This record gives sequence, C-alpha cells and structure tokens, in this order.
Amino acid sequence: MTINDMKTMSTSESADLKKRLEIERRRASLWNLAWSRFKKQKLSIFGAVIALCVIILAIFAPILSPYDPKEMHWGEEMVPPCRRFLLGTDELGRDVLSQIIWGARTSLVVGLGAVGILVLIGVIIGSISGYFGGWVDELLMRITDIMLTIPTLFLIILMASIFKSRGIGIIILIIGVTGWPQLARITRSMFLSIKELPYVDAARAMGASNLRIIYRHIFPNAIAPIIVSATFRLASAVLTEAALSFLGLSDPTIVSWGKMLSVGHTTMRYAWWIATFPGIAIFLTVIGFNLLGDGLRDALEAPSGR
Amino acid sequence: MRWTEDLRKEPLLEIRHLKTYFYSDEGVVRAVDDVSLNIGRGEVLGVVGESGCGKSTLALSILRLIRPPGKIVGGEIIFDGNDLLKLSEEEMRKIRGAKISMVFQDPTSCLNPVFTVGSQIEEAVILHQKLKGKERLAKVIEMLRKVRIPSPEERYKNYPHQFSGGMRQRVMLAIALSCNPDLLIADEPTTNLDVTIQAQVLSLMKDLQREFKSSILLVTHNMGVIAKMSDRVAVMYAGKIVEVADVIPIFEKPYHPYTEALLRSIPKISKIIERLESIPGVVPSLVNPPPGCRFHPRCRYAKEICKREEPPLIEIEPGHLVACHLHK
Repeated sequence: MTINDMKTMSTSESADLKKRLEIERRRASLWNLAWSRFKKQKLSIFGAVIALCVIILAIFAPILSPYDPKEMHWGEEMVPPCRRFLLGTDELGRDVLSQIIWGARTSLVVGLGAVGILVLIGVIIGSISGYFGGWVDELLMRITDIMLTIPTLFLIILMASIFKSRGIGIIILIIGVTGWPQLARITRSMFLSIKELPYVDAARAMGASNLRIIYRHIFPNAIAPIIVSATFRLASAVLTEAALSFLGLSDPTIVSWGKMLSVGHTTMRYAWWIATFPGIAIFLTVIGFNLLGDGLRDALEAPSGR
Repeated sequence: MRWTEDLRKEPLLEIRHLKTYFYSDEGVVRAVDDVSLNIGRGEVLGVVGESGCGKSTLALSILRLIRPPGKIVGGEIIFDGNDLLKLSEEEMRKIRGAKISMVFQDPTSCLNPVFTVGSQIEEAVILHQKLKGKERLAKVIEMLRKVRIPSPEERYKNYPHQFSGGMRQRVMLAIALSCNPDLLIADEPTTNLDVTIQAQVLSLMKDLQREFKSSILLVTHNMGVIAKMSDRVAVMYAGKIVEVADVIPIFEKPYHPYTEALLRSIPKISKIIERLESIPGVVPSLVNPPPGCRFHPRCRYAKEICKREEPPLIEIEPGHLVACHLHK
C-alpha cells in the first residue's frame, strides 16, 4: 500500500464520517423523521403524487388548459376524445380537459377554504372542551353531538337555499361550519390525554398560563391527528362540493367537476366522456387525499419519551 | 447546628396548618393533614416518608398545583411575607418558575417531546425574563453548561429523546434554575435514575444550590439521598409530620419509632445481614386513618395511649420536634 493509498483512504473515511454525522443531524428534526417514515409507504406516496398533481393543475390552470373552459366551439359539440380535444367536448362544445383542469382549482379552493374554517372551529371548540372539562366540556360536546346527528348534506342544502347568493365563498362557509364536529372530537380527545402528562404539569410549574399551555405545550403534540383528520376532511369537502354543484346548488358561473357530472349524466349513453372524466377526477382526488391522510397518520407519530 | 435558630427567625417559606384533601369516591383523603413546616433561606429541607404518605401532595400544594378532586382546604403558606394561598392565579403564575420552581420525578416525560431541549429552557426564560434573541440563546447555553451538559452549543438543538435520563433530569434542573429561584422544590428528583447517575445529579444539585443560593425542598423516600443533601429533615407519615430535626441528630438519635424504622431499613454495606429489615404493614388508608397516633398499628413500642390520643408535635430538644407519646 502506498502512502497515497492511505491518504485517499483516510480522506474517504473522514468523508464517510461526515456523511454519517450529516445523517444524524438530519434525523434530529421530527419532520425529517416523519418524512423518512412516510417515504416507505408506496400507497401514501401515490396519494401524495395525486394531491400534488391536483395542486399543480389548480395553480397553473390558465397555462395548462388548452382552451378557455367556457368557450363553446360551434359545430364541435359532443366530439369524442380526439387529438384536438383530448378528452372530447360536451353538448355545448366546451373542452372537457380544460374544464377538468379549471375544476381542480374550484375543488381545491373549496376544499382548502372549508377545511381551514372547520379546523379552526373544531380545534378551538375541542381544545377548550378537552382542556377545561367540567360544564364547558359538557355544553360544547352536546352542541357537537347535535351537529353530528343532523345529516350534513341536508343541513347544507337547507343553508344553501337560505342564502340568496350562490357565490363560491358561501359554499366554502357552509361546508366549513357544518364539518367541524369530527375535528372537535379528535382535538378534545387529544387534549384529554395530553393534559394529564407530566410535561404539562411541568409547564404549569414553570408559570405558563392556561392559554400558553394550550397553544404552546399541548397543541403541538396534538397536531398530528389534526393534520390527518384535516386531510380526510379535505377529501370529503371536495366530494360535498361536487354533490352540491351536481344538485345545482353551487355558483353557476364557476367550472366544477360536480357540475360537469350533472351536465354529462343525461348524455351518458351516447357521449360517455362528458361525465366519466370528471367522475374519474373526483374519484382520484378523493382517493389521493385519503391515501395521503393514511400515510400521514402512520408517519406523524411523535417519538415516545424513551 | 445553631444556624437553624437563625433560620427560624427569618424563614423563606412558612407552612402553617396546611390541609390538602382529595374528595374521592371512597371518601375524603387527607393527604396533607395539618402540616406546619419552615424552610430557611439557603437551606435544604428533606421531606422523607414512604410512598403515599403525602410528600408529593405537600410539594405540589406549595405551588398550588393540586388538581381536582384535590383541594387545599386550610392553612397558610407564607412566602416572602405573602400568603400564597391568598394570591390570585395571575400573581401565582409570576411566582411559579421565577421565585419557586419545581423538578419532577420522571425526567423522561417532563420534557415536551416535540420541542428541542434548548427551546424548552428558553420557554422558562421567556416567561419570566425580558431577554431577547442572542442574549436569550446565550442564557440557554449558559444554563446547559451549568448543569454540565457536554458541548451545549450543539446539544441545545437536540430533542429530548436524544438525551439520556440523567441528562434530561439535568435539563429539568436547568429549566428550574434558569430564573434563579429562591426555592427549588425537587420531588423525588433521582428516583427514576440509576444509581451512578443519581449520585451525579445529586452532587450537581448540591453544587448548584451553593452557586444559586437557593433553598431546596427535597422530597424523597430515600434516606441515603437525605443524608447526602439535606441540612434538616422532616419525616412525614400518613399526612402528618412526625419528626423534624437537623440531619445529623435524625441519623444519630431518631426519636420517633417511624424514623427509627426507616433508618433500619437502609441497606448497609458494612453489616452482613440475612434479610433487610422492613417496616411491617403498609401506610394506612388516608380516608380512615387509625385513631390516636397514626403509626401505632405498625409501631413496636405502641402503648395504650397511642391508640386513643393523637400525639402533638413538640420540641424536645432545641430544633428537634417529635410527635410521639414515648417522648414528652
């Protein structure tokens, strides 16, 4: 062995050591830990990819869509999928592909907006309920129970018919304010168990106020199931929005998958593509977000004390 | 130990007739029943007794951390001239962690698993001090160095699960001492650590106590820990204080049969014994404590009077208080 060999070996060894230290350092962050666990599940990756596709379609809809989704191509109504219209056109000559791309934007905006509202309401109600207990808990949980006993779709239809305007904002609001009970229950159950843990006592002994204990010491430990549940709620909000626009209760000026379904289902027999592709889009989106939720649930388990 | 007399002139904390009861389904559990105790400035007071005799409840009562169904039903806790039991929750919060702080038994679960060790020390600093940015970080690193965490500049970024049990307890000490408290309450601080680590943490505590000039209320069931750490000892049995004295008299000449029994149950390396002595029986139910002296069913010297009359806590030697009918 020459001296040169030894030199290269030692440098490669120190590089190896550096690499290992680097890995160790990366492993330190809890998010990286979660990611390394998430990576191992093929189905969750699949879900994440679909979710990412929907997000990309939604953001870049104006660039990605070949036509204006509302543009009616005269004389080219109900064209089956071809090179000019990859997914065909509907009975008014509108490009199905463009509508699907723009519909992703509607679905995602409604989904994120509604989930934002329902997570906010659910987490506030659930954390107050779980942390303080007693009659506050009793009262809030009875309200939650009542919300759960009312069929959501019925409530939504009722509210949608009360509101004069059918703007997308109203739809988001309606899905948001009817969808929080599950989130409230999950948050409450997390708070119930976490508030008994010694580190909460330690925080109180340190002089932290109730509010600070709630948002700074308990909430970060309860966040994993909340994220998971929110992901599932996102899928169901997409579905609810589709149902609403299928029933004609949504903003008539906005392109959405539900409305495409409702337009296409009457012509299903001789123009299958008009309703099938938005159906597949809804199916994939819902499945994708659900798989993503499953993966997150397994990945976000916080490391135990030991 | 003349200096205990000085302490009695100006105690840092004075507990008078404290009663903390738990209202359980089986009845009222008198976990702390009419306890009076003083802690002097810079003094380490050990509170010793078997499990379930009310030591931890006493410790938690001082910080008013008793949770329902528990309740402090009577007494006074005078700290720095104020009765802690009369303060508002807001005022109490300013005392917790700043003037009186606490270290708990289980270091594995007392640190929040989702935050770095550094940010948890920082949290204590944020709550009670007006340090910003770099100064705050410097303080965090300084505290870690004081509790002898190696390379604190690196380790403060770690999460609790990357620390060993002993290191975590040292981090708890860093948190507790970060605001320079007058009183540190340590509830079984070393019970869950293995023996060599125990010794390390104890000597660290002792050094830090000298450095910070804090008083310590040390709750433990381990007489060895008491011997190493305390200046004065209070022996607790079934919710009552049965003997209080300086540490040397307690070990050399215990008056109360319970203290004597506790001392006999310490394993000694110097003696070869077949079987380690234990105290017969268990701590009585605090719902229905035995009448008279609460220790009489387990006491080898019990007399007729012990079954009927509760012995008062009296001073039989200067600074040495005992509640026993045998010593009057």
